[in-house]
Amino acid sequence: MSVDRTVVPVEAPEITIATPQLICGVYDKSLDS
Amino acid sequence: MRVLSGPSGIWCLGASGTALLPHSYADTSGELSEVGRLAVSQGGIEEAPAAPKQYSLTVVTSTDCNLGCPYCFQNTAPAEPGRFDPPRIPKLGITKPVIEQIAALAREGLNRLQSSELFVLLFGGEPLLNRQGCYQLLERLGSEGSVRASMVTNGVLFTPTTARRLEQLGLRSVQITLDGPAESHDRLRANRAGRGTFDTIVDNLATVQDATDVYTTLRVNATPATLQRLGELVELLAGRLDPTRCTFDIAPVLNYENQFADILRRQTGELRAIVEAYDAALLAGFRVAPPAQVTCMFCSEQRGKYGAVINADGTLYSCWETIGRAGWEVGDLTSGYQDYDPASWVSCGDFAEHSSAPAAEGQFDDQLAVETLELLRWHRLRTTEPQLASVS
Repeated sequence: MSVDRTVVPVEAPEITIATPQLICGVYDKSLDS
Repeated sequence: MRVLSGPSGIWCLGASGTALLPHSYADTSGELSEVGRLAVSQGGIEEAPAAPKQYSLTVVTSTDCNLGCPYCFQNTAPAEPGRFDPPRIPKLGITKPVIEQIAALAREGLNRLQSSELFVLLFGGEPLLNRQGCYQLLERLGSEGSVRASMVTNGVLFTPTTARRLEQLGLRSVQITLDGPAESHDRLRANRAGRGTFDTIVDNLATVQDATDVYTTLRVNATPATLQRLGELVELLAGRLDPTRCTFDIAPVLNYENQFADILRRQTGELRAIVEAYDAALLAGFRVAPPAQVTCMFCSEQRGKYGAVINADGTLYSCWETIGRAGWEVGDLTSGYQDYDPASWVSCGDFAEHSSAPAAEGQFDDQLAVETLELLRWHRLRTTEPQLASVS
């Protein structure tokens, strides 16, 4: 299986504001506020 | 802030978010240009995260475990040859007096943060070996604040009846570990008599999904032996579970105190296998967590400002990794936080670094972060802007 996925490089900044929190070393979706 | 170059652009991972910048925002050595630094600053991703809205407690209800995983960080020595019951940290179960002390600590923490929201992580050992303790703890804490709970469980005792009761008391999610498909899982995650647990765990999860809204993080342990079979595992799990209610997370097994040598060598082939498994998981509908600079609610601030890690006997630790380990205590529920040696305050991963070999190699971790971020972006674009995402 190949995972050579190709995307067009960004032309303007893409910002994602998020502070994932960890439970026992693993991100837990249920903590997303 | 981590700055990593990928095919789509420059990935900047800050404490409050992630930015993807055009390649032109960095020089040939990967250093951000002035315009790049300005974009990061305006994006606000480097700012300190907002203070947590809730007070968080990790509580061990039972240090005992019904499995005998050879790599467990709570083992104190390997099992004898031919046996499946390695010696563990001292056996303890939570009691009502300790639960009362935890309730008092929670009240104090909520008052300090001027909050009414409690996050409780049920931890072990195997927390469900003291099921009543779990119920009593959540019920008691429910009278101090609004409880949202999660549980790290091996899943063997996680039946629909138990899950429903815990959900009524605030359980929202569980984290369950698998070691690849049945054959490899059962070799490593056997019960203490040596019997496999894979089918019991997956059957439990499937029936719990039918009976409750509890969300699952599937922590999938990666060793050289299991790595090549992750695609098979994804396919099997997608056929038995609702993938949209699961996060698929691959975690390299660590060699705590030289008890388990079959760990990843952090080679390119291993990295490809992990990324391919994430790709298969995303195509099957599972969630994959984006790599990020993360803030731990328990260890990021000393002396339990935002949360506490509590063993079943009321001893306080800084982190789940050191629970039950002599010399790593930082206080107890009777006297509070003591004047502990600052070196005893370990944060996520610190204890693993102290006691694992070889140490994590930054280059592998950076490359995995970039490839995972690129993969997640590709999967997002293929549904929202398919003209920008293709397979080459």
